[in-house]
Amino acid sequence: MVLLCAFTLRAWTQAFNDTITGRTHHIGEVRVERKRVERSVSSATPLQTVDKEVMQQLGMTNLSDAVKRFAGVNVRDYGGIGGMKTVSVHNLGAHHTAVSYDGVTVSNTQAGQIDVGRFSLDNVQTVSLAIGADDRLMQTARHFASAGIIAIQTERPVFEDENRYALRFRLNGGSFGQVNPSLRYWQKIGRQTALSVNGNYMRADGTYKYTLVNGRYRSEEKRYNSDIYAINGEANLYQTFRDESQLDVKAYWYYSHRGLPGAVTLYNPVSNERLHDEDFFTQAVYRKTLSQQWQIHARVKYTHSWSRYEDTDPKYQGGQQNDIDRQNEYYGSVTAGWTPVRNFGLSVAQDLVFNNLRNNINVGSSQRPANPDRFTSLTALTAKWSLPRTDVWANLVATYATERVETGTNPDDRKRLSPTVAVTYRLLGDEALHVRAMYKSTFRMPTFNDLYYLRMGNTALRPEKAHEYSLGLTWGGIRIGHADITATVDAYYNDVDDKIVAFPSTYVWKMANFGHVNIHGVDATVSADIPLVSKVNLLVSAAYTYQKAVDKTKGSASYDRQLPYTPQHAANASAILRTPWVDVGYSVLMQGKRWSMAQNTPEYLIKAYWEHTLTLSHLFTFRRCRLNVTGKVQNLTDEDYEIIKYFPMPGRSWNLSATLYL
Amino acid sequence: MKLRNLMFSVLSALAVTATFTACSDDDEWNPLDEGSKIYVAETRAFVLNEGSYNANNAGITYFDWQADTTFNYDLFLAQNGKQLGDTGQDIIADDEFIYVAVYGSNYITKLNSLGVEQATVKLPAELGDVRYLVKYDDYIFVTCYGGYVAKVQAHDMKYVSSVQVGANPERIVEKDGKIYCTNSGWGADNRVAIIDADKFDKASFMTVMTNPDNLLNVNGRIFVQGYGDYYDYPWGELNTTTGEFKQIGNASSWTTYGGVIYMINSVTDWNNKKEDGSYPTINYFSTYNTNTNEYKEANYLKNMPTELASASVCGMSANPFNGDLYIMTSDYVNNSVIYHFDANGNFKKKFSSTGLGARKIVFFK
Repeated sequence: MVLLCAFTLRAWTQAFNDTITGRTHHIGEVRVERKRVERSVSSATPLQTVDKEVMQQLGMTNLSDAVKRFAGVNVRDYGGIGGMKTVSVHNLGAHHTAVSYDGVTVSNTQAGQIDVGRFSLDNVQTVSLAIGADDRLMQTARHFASAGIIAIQTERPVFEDENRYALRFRLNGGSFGQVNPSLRYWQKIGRQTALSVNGNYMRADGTYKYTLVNGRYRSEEKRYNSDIYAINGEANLYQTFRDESQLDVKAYWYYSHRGLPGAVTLYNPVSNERLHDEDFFTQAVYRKTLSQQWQIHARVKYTHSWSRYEDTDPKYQGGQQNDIDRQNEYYGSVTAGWTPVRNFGLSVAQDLVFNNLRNNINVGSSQRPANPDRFTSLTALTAKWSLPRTDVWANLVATYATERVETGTNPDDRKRLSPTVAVTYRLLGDEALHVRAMYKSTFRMPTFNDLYYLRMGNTALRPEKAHEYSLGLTWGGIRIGHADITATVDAYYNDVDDKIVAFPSTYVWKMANFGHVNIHGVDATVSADIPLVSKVNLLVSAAYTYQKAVDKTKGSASYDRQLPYTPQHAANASAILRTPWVDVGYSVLMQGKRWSMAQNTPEYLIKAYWEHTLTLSHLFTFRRCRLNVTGKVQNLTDEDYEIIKYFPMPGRSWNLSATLYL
Repeated sequence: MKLRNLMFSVLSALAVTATFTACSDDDEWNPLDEGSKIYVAETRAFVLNEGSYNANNAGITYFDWQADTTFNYDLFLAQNGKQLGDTGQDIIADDEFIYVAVYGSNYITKLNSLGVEQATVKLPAELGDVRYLVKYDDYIFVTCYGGYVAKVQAHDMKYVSSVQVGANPERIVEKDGKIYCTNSGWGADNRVAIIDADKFDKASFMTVMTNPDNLLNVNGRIFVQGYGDYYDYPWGELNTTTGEFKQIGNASSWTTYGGVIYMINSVTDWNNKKEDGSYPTINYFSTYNTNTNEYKEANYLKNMPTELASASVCGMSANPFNGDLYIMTSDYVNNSVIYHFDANGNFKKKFSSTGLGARKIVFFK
């Protein structure tokens, strides 16, 4: 009944040999038999992962494609290649979701939410989503501080045979005038060092057709001002020292300029908004095992982001508005782990962050820019205790933030404790059947925009608080015939209090901590690996989310109504058929009906949609080089749909890519 | 309580009887002949719902002001089979027609007095998006956000010409053949522009206050309201002969009937957070009688529902035929609630505007 995944230590050492350490341990062949238990099953907190191979075979190119596959996630996609895409986990809002890139969080203190549309999956090894927190010890304090974390892990160089370098060139193109060449180069420098360099350029007209429904009338329209030019580069240095400690250093740069088509406005197609932005960061991660009991991870990062929003309209003085924002972040984190006995570990992580924002938002008005500086300290204490059948994971994060402004009032310092407790219990001794439970108290800081935006900002804001409770059942290694099945189901309850919202008054609105939201939901996932005949297998997976997220603000006219853009039912499924001739990937995403406004009336109803994608790919091998050719048709049925009202999504589109490995 | 309910029932019954009488007396009233797709009462009023930004949910709903019956659908959509567009900015009416300026969609539509579209106009893009309207002779004068007042022929909605004024002009009125509009500049301007309606060649200016917004012409006197330096909504009178502006009080919304200006100042106290995190809004009521120059800071409404004391008021309109007052409130997320009072300030009814952000009502009979 149970899949016994046997693997030999030789195989393991072989894999080890492939890494840059270049060391081979020769151990006599020992056969170790144990159940292959995926982390999604054994993790005490809900965890979902998608790996490179699956992403490739399902034709995913953007981080948002991968994230949309997870249960419990709501991606707000404003449509088009350059359209913003933000992720909300269990309906807590995008501000509660953290994104980490190779172990260090990406931040945006001004807006507080990350546009996942910025990240290409070109060099990504895995994307995972942990709800609550990832239940491992050696992470930064920031990783524990959000309600959910999307972790992007990039590929590390692997050199086959005696090669000292590896080159990959990809050309990707398709609908909307998209052309996207990319280059990846890996170089081995000595026995202990490797270097990787990636470059990626993308351009697209972005223009696409959509159907506009206006009362009785339907018309075929085109979405203009959706062009995008983006270029990004990344260089990584991987060093393994003699003491086997590791240092990874990364420099990342991204530049883009794009049109912001905005909402479709009836009778007025004029759209002149543009965005130019640039991000640079450099980070270093150092990992060292000091002894059998002690290990230490240290991380530093510097981020600079710049953006210029431009709008051309006669209503502005001089006919144009230019908002320029510059943000800097200096970040350092040290995590020390102590494992005194085999089944008990403790870690303490200390993060220090300094953020500032300089912009011209208030220039020209009677107010001067606030120019805020924020200093944040996060301290996380984590314990993990493994009993034969039970794993207990507990974590406490203490956050202290203090702020200073050049103009205006300094807000009060903010101090908060956020505890998490998660337990998983294996119900049967010889079966990977677990029951798990989690509680987390978390919060999100007011952003610089919440605090200081011209007239709307409110320096009296407190953090927005959230509680997460979840209870789940996971079952891995279920065998039905030859199929290997994994299934998880988690029910959850969240509440959000002191929501940070724009509080209306007659003319001038202000940000306020106002409102309460309750969220009930169920996430379910199932995946199966089905060997059909020799060298042919089928991998199917599905995820389903039920969510009831209602306004519980006393006196609100929309009390007990479902929050806008929250479908009660959302699901996705995929199937990958791997054959020696061609790999066929098929996926479908659906969202049930939802409303664009809190009042849930018929005029604000957004109909359900289904989006199907078909991908064919094959890897050709010619002596030393390999060529992967992938073709994809997205929105196969040409469904007209919107995720955000009046931000239509593209219809059927195609994409072709060729990847050459040398 | 019971007595009040009984009285209300009696009043409602009387109102219904009155309507039937009115309808049966007037055999000529047949709106379906005028191109209407629905039966619209003769004593009709049209509410402009602004909608919310980027949502194309501006609309016009209607009610029978005499019978005090309301209808919960978008009349513009019902009559024309299409939506009004994004951000309903202004609605005006003469005896026969309605004119609506839609800001985000940037056009002006002319409707007959049943809400059926007759013509639309889009002005040259360089003028900026349309804001507010006034009709004088056979022309519609419209403020455009690029700093212009444009002139449009009312009969065929053909654009004639434009005159440059100050930055971001808002409300517009006519007095003695002259067009007056405020120039807000979003706080960077402080003037009222004056243009001769016939010559329509250039503007002269009078300084009023920082960020002026609203204008009223009451019996030939010009009153100006705006945001002021501190967003405390000052208002006062502009002497158009001397160019002198004199502040009288503070108000965020107003309307006029019988020479009296009825005002509400909706003040949100941002320094006084409530326990639930919200901020209290308090409505201060006042009147200014232009016949006697008497300014009264007292509530002219009787038996007002308690919630109206603290609701955000986003518009006020008076029925020119009987002086009834309509106070429009909004939380900007749910449909607006309209409170109806008679000319003596007695509360009559509250009803939903069936749209977001009710701004203004025009009346016909």
